[in-house]
Amino acid sequence: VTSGGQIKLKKILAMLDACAPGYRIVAKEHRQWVTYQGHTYRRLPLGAHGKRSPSSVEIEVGQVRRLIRYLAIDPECASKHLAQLR
Amino acid sequence: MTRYPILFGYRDFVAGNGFVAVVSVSGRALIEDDHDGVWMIGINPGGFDAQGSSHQLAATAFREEYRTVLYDIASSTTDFATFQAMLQDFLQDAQPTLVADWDQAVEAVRRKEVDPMGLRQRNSSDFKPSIRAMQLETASAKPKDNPVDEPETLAA
Repeated sequence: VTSGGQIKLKKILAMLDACAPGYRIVAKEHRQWVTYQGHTYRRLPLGAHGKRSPSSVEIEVGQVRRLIRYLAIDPECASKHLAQLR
Repeated sequence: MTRYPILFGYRDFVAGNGFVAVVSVSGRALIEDDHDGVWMIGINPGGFDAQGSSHQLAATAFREEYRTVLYDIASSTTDFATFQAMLQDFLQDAQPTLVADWDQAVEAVRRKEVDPMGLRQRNSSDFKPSIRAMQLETASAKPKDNPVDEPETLAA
């Protein structure tokens, strides 16, 4: 059983802009890699219509929580930008 | 939330730019069972995870995600030496808080507070994660090079 819910990739990128200053994102062949504070999360999906087109892609809330934990992003800041995490 | 410390061993054929390699990993992961569902999270190697509706399905999805990372590494490199270096970065990219969670989960197994889910238990005191790539030359390839995974075990 999951708590359900998905978050648009576009909103996750906006959260990263606000909460992970200096982060880098690189589109690979299958996934996008996000590097912050010396760690790289290797499982962010690519956009639906090309590497950097995040408009229609959605990600499970559980995965977003794990991305935030793995990159040691301030959870309060992340919650401010992503209501589904509250 | 229940956490299970897992040891795994995977082998894969990976084609890169100008090389074919067998990649063998001996790694550790954490299975978390909570309101988000069942998740398997890489410790070493790190930076990837997978979800499933059961432990087995999460483990199967994790296996596929691991392979996907290998393919992304292969497509990011132009030679075998760089591929090997990126594999080592992948192996060492452990988040300290997750390592602490893994250590606590091992302690819980040792105190018999965790249902082993039918998994064989393995002492992890001397466990050292490793990843290595062996370049394959067609002329010297043998059937024994065909990759076979090891069964996952519960770290104790």
